[in-house]
Amino acid sequence: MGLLARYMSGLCVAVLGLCASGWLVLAPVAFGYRSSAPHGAALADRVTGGGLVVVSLLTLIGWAIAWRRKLRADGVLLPGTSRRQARREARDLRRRAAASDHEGASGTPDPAQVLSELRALLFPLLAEPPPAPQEPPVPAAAPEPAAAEPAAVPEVHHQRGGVPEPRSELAPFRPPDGAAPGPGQPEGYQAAGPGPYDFTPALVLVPAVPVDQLTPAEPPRPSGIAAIESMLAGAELSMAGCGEEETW
Amino acid sequence: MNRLAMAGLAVIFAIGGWLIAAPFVLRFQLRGAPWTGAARIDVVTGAVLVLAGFSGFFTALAGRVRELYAEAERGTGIGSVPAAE
Repeated sequence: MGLLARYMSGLCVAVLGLCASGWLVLAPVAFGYRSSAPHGAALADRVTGGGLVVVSLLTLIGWAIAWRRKLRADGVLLPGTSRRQARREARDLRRRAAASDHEGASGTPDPAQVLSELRALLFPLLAEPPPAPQEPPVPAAAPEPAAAEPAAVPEVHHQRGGVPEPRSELAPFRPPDGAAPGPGQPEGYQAAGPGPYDFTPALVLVPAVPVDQLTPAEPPRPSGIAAIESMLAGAELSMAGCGEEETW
Repeated sequence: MNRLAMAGLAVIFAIGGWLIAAPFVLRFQLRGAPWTGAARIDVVTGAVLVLAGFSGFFTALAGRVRELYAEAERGTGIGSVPAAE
């Protein structure tokens, strides 16, 4: 009540001043003392009424602005929200709705609908059982027998067209069978970890193969499911590049 | 902006005072003579403006003081001193 009384009293007094100024300007005409009153009573009333109009208007605007600022500071009014801005946003919204209706009526296919139909068509292919895992390419033989053991490591990465199987937890590291690590470093391996036997999951082991025996491995060709998935991913990427807001 | 609005109320109060005194200052209401219509209108209008300006000014001032007290209790005022713990 205190906040409301403060601003309302200021506004009411300003409005009353406006009414009084109008009364002062019109009174000489209404009561007929425009020319008969001595010493310029009519002139004094008009000048006073004119000044009172200006003061009352400034007071009214000042109290209105002060109240508006207070309401914004208290969070009642959203900052930056004006009637003109609201009209502009409503006009933009109507324009977008009209444009979308026009595009729908012109027969342009909806990319989302096209992708849905494509998924429905490719669903039987996705439901097929995955093909048998291909035999991994056997790496070149290492000169030392201890270095030939880690050849089974890339086997997992080619079962689904190069996409590894999802893992929910980190598998514990176990040194390969037959590996006989030396006192400072495992034989046939180059450990990137801090210690000689730091078998943490972050440890990176690289088989020590001589450079002259390295052959470029043939990249695995994606199988049927992976090819379909890559096609769908490409279509989604093209949709995202076209500015589509809908994501799949 | 608050100061401008408060000053407006004070000016309205002053204009009311001027309207009460104008018939006697400008001498279109002679002392002891019967009151003319112009003098009566000016005095009545001036009295209304004086009352309105006075009450409005002090109501707004009281509201401002109440706001300052509330800000000082919350500790968010500009000149407020945080309470010692």
